[in-house]
Amino acid sequence: MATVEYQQASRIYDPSRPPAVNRVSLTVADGEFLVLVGPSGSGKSTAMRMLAGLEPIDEGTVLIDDVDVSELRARDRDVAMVFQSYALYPNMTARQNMAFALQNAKMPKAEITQQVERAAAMLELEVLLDKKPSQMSGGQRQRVAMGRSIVRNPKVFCMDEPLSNLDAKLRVSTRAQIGSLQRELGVTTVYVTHDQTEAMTMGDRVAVLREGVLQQVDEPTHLYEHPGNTFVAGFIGSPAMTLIDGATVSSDGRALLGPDHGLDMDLPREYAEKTPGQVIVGVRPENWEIVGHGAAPEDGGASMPLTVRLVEKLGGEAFLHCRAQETEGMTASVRGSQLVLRLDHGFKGIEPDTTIHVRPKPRTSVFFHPENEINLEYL
Amino acid sequence: MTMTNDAQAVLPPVPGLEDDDPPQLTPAQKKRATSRHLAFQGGTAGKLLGYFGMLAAVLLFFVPLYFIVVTSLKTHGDIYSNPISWLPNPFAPENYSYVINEVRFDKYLRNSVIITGILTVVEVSLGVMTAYGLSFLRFPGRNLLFLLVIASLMVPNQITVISNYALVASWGWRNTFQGIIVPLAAVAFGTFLMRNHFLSLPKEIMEAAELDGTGFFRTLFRVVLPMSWPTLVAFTLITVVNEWNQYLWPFLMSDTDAVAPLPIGLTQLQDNEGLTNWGPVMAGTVLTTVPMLIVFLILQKQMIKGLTAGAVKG
Repeated sequence: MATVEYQQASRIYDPSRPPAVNRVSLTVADGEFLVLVGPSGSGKSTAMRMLAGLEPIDEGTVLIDDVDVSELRARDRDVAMVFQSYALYPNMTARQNMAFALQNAKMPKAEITQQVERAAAMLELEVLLDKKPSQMSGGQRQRVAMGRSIVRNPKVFCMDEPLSNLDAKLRVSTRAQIGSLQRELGVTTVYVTHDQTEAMTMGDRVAVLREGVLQQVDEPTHLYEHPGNTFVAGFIGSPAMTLIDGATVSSDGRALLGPDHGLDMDLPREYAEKTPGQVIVGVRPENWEIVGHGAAPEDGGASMPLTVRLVEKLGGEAFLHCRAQETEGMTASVRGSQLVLRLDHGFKGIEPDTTIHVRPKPRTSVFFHPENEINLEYL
Repeated sequence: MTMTNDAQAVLPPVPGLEDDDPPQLTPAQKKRATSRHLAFQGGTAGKLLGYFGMLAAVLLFFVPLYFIVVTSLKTHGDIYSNPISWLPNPFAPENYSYVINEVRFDKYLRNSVIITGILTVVEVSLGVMTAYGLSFLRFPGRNLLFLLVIASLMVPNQITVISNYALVASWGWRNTFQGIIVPLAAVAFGTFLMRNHFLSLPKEIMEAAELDGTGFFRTLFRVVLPMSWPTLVAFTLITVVNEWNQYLWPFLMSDTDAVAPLPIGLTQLQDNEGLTNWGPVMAGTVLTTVPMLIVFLILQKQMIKGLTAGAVKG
């Protein structure tokens, strides 16, 4: 059990290029499950490997339990790791794989047996104990790799995309298993993934990285509802949030899609003065309301007309991929020119290449500063 | 909420409710079904050509070997008979007893075993150690050192043999085991082979061993070498055969049967009387080959075992 702290930690492979991990400062509480998430090349794995001792820390420090471990060798940090490829010793059985670290630590034999049996029971590995990795399925290898970390009873678990080699169904069940196992053991865990669903469902807190720079650290739902900037807004949530650039802030403090456009994006009044006349509006796929099909809405209010390009029906819900229509008076533009709506019902009659009229639901949109793209809430 | 198309009046049947007749096979499918076990799918002429090629290759290797064995069982006159006789007539196993009793075959055999044994142990341990150091230790000049090792592979033995001889002879090491063994114990080839294999091992497993707190040599013996069996066995096999057949250097270093290995002994047989009696020479050759055949049969099994055991992803 331990706390982990990064203090302006950097990893610089090549001084002429931006650092792989750039002055990351981050605290992980004792027993916390922290997920590092980001697109590939964002430095999330490197950041975790710096904690494990597999990458040097070129600037700043990393502390485990308030002790500076920056210059300590990996073996002396008491960190266990689950690798993406599992990295089991192919010549050893599951039992030997799990016992290996304990044998290295010169633990008495009886105690090793007891520890291995305990971990095996926890992961339902008993029947696999005398099999070699080559005789196991991917999911079984993954569990043995987990077991190898658990038996050591380390201060910190590091997990590097441990689920990415499993098939979709197994991934969902293993996700839940790892989560409950971590809570049961109460070991501080740093978990790396590029999958934002894993990040949202598993983490006590989620840290979003982009090009080596930490963007935001918070609880998953808070991250979803209050993204710190447009990158986090676009990365967290699937399908992604729609971002509308260049919405006009009118003199009476309303965000409009154009100076003379009637559609009010419902900007909170106190934010209006934080921005220089324009604002970026973010709307989640589930926060659009369809107010009319084909013709303009019956209530006569302003709306945004969209052309439906593709309807993805998933059974219980559907995603509408749409393109905004050019309309008079609209100066704002949809980023990526594609926007996605999520519907729980009423999607049966919607066909591609038809027009729908939408409005954001009241009090659901997020607003970002047009220049630094930071959420106005945080300014 | 249903996703079906309600406009469709009759729903298609659920698969498995009705018994379908098995599909009719086309002639091409039938032909494939019957010949699936054959790896080679060419026509009869192609097959014949393939077998002919195999036969030619087998003969090319087998005929000389056959004549070595047969000649070792022939009398002197029978060897020079015209036309050649394909079977020994009369049968002359006394060639073997001649070799064993007259030429101190046991002495040469002992020397060969000592030289090959020591050289194999030394070369394999040195090769594995240097390769391990070159692949997993970081030190300045590591790549330069490795380049030097490779460069030494490109210098033919014959170039260094004279200076080596002058040096070793000046130490007074002629007709000693160390005189034969020490200059032969260099391991550039093994270092090269093992280093490249070690570098091909998955990096994560080495990292896992590091995180598991495995010591430097324990990592070598418990993690790295068990994943390297096939390469290690191949390296050992090549070393054993190579040192067993070593001729030029031992020939220069020894002129008695005190330390000379079998290949030197065979030449002693050849020059005894003006006209070479090929029967005993061939008998000696067969006897020299037998230990290598045994070693090869044993290690070959290990090599295949290693190959299958190592076939593990990550």
